[in-house]
Amino acid sequence: MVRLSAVTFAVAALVGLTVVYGRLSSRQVTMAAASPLLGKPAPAFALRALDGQPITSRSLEGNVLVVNFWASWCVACREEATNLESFYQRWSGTGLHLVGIVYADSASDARAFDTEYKITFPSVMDPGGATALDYGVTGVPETFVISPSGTVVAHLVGAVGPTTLDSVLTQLSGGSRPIERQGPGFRQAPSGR
Amino acid sequence: MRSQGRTRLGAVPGHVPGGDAAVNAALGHAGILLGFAAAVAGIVTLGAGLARRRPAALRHGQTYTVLVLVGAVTATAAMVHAFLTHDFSLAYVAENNSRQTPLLYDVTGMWSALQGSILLWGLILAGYLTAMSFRFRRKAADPVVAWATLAGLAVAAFFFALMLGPADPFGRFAGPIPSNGAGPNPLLQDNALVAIHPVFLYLGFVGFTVPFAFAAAALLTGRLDEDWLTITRRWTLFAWGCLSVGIVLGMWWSYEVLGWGGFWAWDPVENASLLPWLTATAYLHSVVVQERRGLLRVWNLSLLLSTFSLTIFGTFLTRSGVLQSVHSFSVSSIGPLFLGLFVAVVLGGVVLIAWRGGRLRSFGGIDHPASREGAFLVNNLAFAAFAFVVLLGTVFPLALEAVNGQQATVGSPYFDTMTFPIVIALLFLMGLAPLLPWRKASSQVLGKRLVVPAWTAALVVTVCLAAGIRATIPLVVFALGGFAAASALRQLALGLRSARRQGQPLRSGLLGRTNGGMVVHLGIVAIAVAMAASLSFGHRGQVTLAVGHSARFDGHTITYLGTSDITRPNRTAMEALVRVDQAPRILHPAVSQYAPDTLGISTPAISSTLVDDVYLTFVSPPQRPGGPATIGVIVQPLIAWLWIGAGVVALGTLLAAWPRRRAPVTVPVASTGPKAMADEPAPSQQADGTPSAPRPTHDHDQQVAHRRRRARETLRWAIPATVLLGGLVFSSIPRPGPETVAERTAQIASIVRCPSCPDVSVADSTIPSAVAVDHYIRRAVEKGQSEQQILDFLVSRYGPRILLRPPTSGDDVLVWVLPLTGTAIAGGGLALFFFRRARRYVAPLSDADRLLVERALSKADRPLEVRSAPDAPAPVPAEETTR
Repeated sequence: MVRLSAVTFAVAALVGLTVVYGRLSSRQVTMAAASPLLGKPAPAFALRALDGQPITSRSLEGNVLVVNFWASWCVACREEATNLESFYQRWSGTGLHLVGIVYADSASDARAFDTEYKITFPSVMDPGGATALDYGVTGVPETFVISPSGTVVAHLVGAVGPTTLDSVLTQLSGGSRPIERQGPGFRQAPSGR
Repeated sequence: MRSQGRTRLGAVPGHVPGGDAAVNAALGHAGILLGFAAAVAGIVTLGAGLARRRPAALRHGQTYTVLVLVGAVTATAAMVHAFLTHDFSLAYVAENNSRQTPLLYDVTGMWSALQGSILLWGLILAGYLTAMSFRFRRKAADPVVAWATLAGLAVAAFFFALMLGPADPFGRFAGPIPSNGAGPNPLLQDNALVAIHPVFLYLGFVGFTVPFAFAAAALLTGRLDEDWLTITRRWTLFAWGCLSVGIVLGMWWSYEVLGWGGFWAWDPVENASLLPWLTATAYLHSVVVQERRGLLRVWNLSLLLSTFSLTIFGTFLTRSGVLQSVHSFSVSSIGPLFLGLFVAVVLGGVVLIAWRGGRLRSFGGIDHPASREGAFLVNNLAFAAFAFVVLLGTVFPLALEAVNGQQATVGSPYFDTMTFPIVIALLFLMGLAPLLPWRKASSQVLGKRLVVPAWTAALVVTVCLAAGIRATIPLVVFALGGFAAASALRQLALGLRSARRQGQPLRSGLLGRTNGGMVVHLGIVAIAVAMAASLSFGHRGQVTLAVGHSARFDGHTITYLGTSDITRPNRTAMEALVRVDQAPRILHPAVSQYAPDTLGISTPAISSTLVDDVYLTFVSPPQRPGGPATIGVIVQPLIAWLWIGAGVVALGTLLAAWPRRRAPVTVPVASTGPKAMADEPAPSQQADGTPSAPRPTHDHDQQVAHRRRRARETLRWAIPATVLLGGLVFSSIPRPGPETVAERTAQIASIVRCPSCPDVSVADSTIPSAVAVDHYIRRAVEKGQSEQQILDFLVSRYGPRILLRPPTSGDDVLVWVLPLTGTAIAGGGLALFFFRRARRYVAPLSDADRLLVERALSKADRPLEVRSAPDAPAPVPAEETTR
């Protein structure tokens, strides 16, 4: 009796393990969880751009705002830099704002990056990473799309592709629910524990 | 952090001769194919030989292990050659090597990722199997040896099959051959420890295949006496020693390289290596009970089965991509295969044990909880609980996510809370068990033996309190450490004395499992003390200094002398030059870049003494040349003893496994078999078996005197025990006082996960996102916010996984409740078992009578010791005849 129940228990445990594994392997593994900010008001910020101009989120309300967290040391940010810039060129005529927020990087390196990739959209410094904390950023790049009313409607983790943001905007204008997308591109966190 | 954003370094002219490259791949594939074919051929030959009972076939089948080894060596040689010649036509080499890689890491690069580590596994397994067939060459026709070899070859066939299919280390690079490779992960080309840590770990993991194979063979053949245990004892010890060393080397590497100043983060992969260590340690103890008393047979088989299957499970966790961590190589196609092997091993083992259950019944039982075997049983309960806590904490977040999609982090706060009581219980048992005789301890004997260890513990507590240590946790650990160390030293002294009395060289008093085990205990005490000290008294902070200026930090003077730039083929670095105290040696904490456009990696520099380590990191370089720089300082007390302790553990393991020409034969008070005696000198018995009390008479006065003497004897250990308890109670009295902002911040920061790390707390991390959260917490504390408000805010931004400690509500409560219930049920069962036995076991002897018996027995011991010669017939104790 004891023996039989031991075997039964082992079989049950192993079946459970297999089921758990099956369900886990079908999910997408990323370090970042879905942002709890989706559907919530976007955290406000008032920061200074690389050229010294102050930029506040309040002044950008009323239009779609795309916020991109990046750093010059991040490889995936280099991959997405031209995609972001061409997206900005396509959409800035509609009143859309794109603001880069520099994450754990120096202003001089960030400026050099902007020059190298011919970036025209403004980027702001985030001293101490307080704004990144407000947005729950765990690594770079991460991109948030904020509706004209100031609600976070999309959270993209990893490098954006050439048409990623366009399709997100199309989906959102079609009445989609808030979008969480964990991109195939990997993100970097600074090393160390 | 496995930073995956590696870029190719700039192309360096040079080419790989095409012929050479083809040779590497062809040779490698040929070696793997040979290994697989030889393993299959061996299985078939042995299987046929076993089925038809042909000894010649069994002997022939053994020789295939050599062929497996030849195959594995060929493949490994091809891989090493490919690395040394930078053969980037192989995808694995292109991904893990570059022309700038230093020579040492050219070789170690071989096992730095999935495919190569499987190859290393195959090589070590082939080595073990060959050693096994060589060691048992005279018993090759024995079905037990044949079945064991067959089981080992089956495991080998699995690993070689992996390399033929989903984990091919010799796969071609898709596309044109690159002129340079990506290079190993920067963290893996920084420190020589990374070269040997995996080798020791694998020697440990893979080594458990041997006892597992013999256990399986014993079950299959039905020869379930204690033979297979004796045969595999040294193999198990060797594997255990290697695993212990491998785990500590991993801690050391983490400490020396990762720059966070810690050594253990309860990372799932670290847990995966700890799990088999826990069950194996339990096994090493309970196996003694089986050898001496023939008890716990099913339990021992289960522990061995668990150990082996946990090594497979650990590999599954690491290699299947179900979790993300420093070590995981996410390749998912291999996951189902490892899961399949794990299921097969567990199911096969459980069914075999159930099938043979009838033959595994033990005769006799444990007479009394206050006995050596009773202590071993409680020890096993503690280790099992430990393993359960670690296993549950590791897989719980995965299970929770799979079941309801909920996300949770189970991090160090959970593991620390849950394992601390277990560690304390184990330390106490470590001191108590060596003092206990087999069968049943009379209070008199125990009281006498307790004197020295108990006084040592009391002394440690007094000294610590006098030195101003008021924290309960380190105080308990230090006191019990002193207790366990004194108990181990006492046993060693007795061993040496008995060796001297028997006219043997003194070193033989250190050899053997009991004595070697005591040396291991000393090492473990050192490790426990170092861990408690560094966790309780470690300080971390930052100093910003101009060139030539000094600052005091935690009793040390930190002087910043400037920076220097370093250029090596594989990295560029900016170093800070820092002097600690007045030391002549200048330390060089650095920020290194292994490829352009990647984030700098912090390389710490450590000034280490036996008292404390000063651990420096280069936090931020000067903004302008010659300007002030920020240096991170961590002072870790006593941490050097962690590494020294590991060395002592390794030494003790060697002593325990050292082959002895002549085992001193002693007859312990109660022993069941000659085998047990041959290996287990019990010097304590001879030394203390003779009670100092005179033979009691029925004379009233003498009885009174006897009672008084006993009272005095009780006082001898009761007084230090009171001092000990008093000290601990005193230390745990909460001292009211204003809690500083820094203390509150540190306390909250220790349960918040660093946003960019899988498992390290904000308090332990120096990376930007963690520093930002730390600042947030400090500001919020200053504003007077409650802990709950702060945590709620962080969850509203990062989600629930930002908390390292699972909440004590909702589904998460299971992770807390399950281990407690499990341990309570198991402990209750054990207590009930003892209680019922104690009721059945009506004490037939008065204390006075027992004294007489003990005395007579100890007298009987003496002549036997002297008489015993290697060829003397083993004395058969009375119990043996009744079985």
